[in-house]
Amino acid sequence: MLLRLTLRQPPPGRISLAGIVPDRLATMSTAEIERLPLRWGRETPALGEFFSVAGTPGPHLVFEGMDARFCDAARGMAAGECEIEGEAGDFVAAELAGGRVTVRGSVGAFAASGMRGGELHVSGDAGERLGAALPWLAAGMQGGRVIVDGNAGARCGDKLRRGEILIGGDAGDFCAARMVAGTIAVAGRAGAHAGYGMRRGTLLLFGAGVALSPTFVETAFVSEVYLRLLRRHWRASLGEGAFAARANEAAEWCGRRWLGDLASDGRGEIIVLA
Amino acid sequence: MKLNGVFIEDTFAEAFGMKAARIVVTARDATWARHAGQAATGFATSVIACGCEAGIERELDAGETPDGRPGVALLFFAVSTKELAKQIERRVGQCILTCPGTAAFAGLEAGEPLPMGKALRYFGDGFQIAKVIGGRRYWRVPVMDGEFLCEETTPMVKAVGGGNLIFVAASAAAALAAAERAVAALRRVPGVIAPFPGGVVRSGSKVGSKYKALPASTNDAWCPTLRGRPASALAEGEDCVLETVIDGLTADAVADAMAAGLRAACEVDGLRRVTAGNYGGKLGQFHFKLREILERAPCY
Repeated sequence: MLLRLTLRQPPPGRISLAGIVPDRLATMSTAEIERLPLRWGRETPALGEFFSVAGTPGPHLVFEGMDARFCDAARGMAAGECEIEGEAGDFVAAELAGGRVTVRGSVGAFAASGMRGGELHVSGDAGERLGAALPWLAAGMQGGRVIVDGNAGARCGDKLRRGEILIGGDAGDFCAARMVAGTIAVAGRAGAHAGYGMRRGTLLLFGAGVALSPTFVETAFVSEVYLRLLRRHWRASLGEGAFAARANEAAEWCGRRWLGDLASDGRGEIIVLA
Repeated sequence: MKLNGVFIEDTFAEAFGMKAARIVVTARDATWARHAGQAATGFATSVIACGCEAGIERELDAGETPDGRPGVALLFFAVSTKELAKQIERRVGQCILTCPGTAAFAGLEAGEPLPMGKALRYFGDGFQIAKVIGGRRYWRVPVMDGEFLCEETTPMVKAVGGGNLIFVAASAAAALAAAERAVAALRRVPGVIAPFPGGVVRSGSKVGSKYKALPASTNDAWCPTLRGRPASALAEGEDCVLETVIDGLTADAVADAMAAGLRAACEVDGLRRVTAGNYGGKLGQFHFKLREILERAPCY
């Protein structure tokens, strides 16, 4: 059962798609879905004004011809599958609890913020603060997995608490800043201040050398079993994509490991694979 | 009933419900995995005084283990959940954590979780790191050769302990040959161990003793030096008796192992008869009738 929402006209401004998720729509008729209110500032236009609704409501939802001015796509989704064809705005898959979200395009800021489970796959680039915490919150992403085939903006994984963020391209400045736990892997280069204020967790860099803060100290590279498990897990669970290609490139993983940020809790690690 | 001229008594082995867990231990090479496995399953022949019964189920190729290194699969059996948890914590902590290059993983897919890394992580004194990989939680504990990686929990399942075969032979050499052949055959069955040294026990016991402090004592009816007494179970020419005890994850596994061991033992010259130990059927919930298990299709 597949429900298709096709864009009729570009939105006049920034419109929230909060609540338009397959697990909620599954029990509604198409007429009810067309009447669902969207948030546009103080106004609540009906979903049918912007999207034509076709197909059968169920666990599979497809947005066609999306526009970056729609934000909150798949926000809070608990189960099912959501495909987004085109650009998506801010807060895509924020607070995602389960299911799978696929974006065939790029996403804005704060994608996967507060995510607790499920998977987000972005075939384009991600804006700043991917999987990061909102300014007033103690933790960003708290579970699940995010895969970005392109680049990620600044402060990717800020205050990440749990889960995996895998970047196929480069990551911006302050990648893994204030990270609490979890894993971030970047196939390309990481920007300045990687791991700034990192408490625990793992930042894995496949790219060339990174300029680390002096508050990171180099340790012996002896995490063989952990890296073997990670590598086998990714081989088994990642399909095709820029990150998977880079992760599977080398026959053996070897490199260098740093511990830090000693200016913070200091139990995080940055592993740079040769 | 006779098999290759060996008399199979019309009796049964009486076995008991136990709690069991399988732990997979890997290391840099098979030698060090074996060292860890042997240490962790040492002094674990009988729950009477060892706390648990344990053994190396089999050696694993690199392709069969979670981290792609050579390893061993260990089985642990105990009479209660609490005792099994205690034994696993102690044995993994003292024998696997201590062994160079090793890692410990849960070896069963489902069951009630018992703490493993969850308990041992404190050895890291705050420097331990938890990682969730593919939905499974591991602890990385810093040690002097790098890291000890240990899965947080290992599943526990209901199992069967105390399957047995008793070989009565004309000589010690024949009894030992029969027992060795039986153990070699039954160890090919997945999910079973024979916890005694080499899989064989010479000190079969009966329940109780004339000495009040002892819960078990020598099974005098099967001792050849006591043959001729009215209570002896041995006949003229039966000079040696050996037993193999089998614990398994399921009753089917124990029955398959007993059948494999029985068939293999009966190929040895000098073996007079095969019997089994029981308590009249009143204590154990599993009864493995020797003549019935021989009807099972050979599977290994």
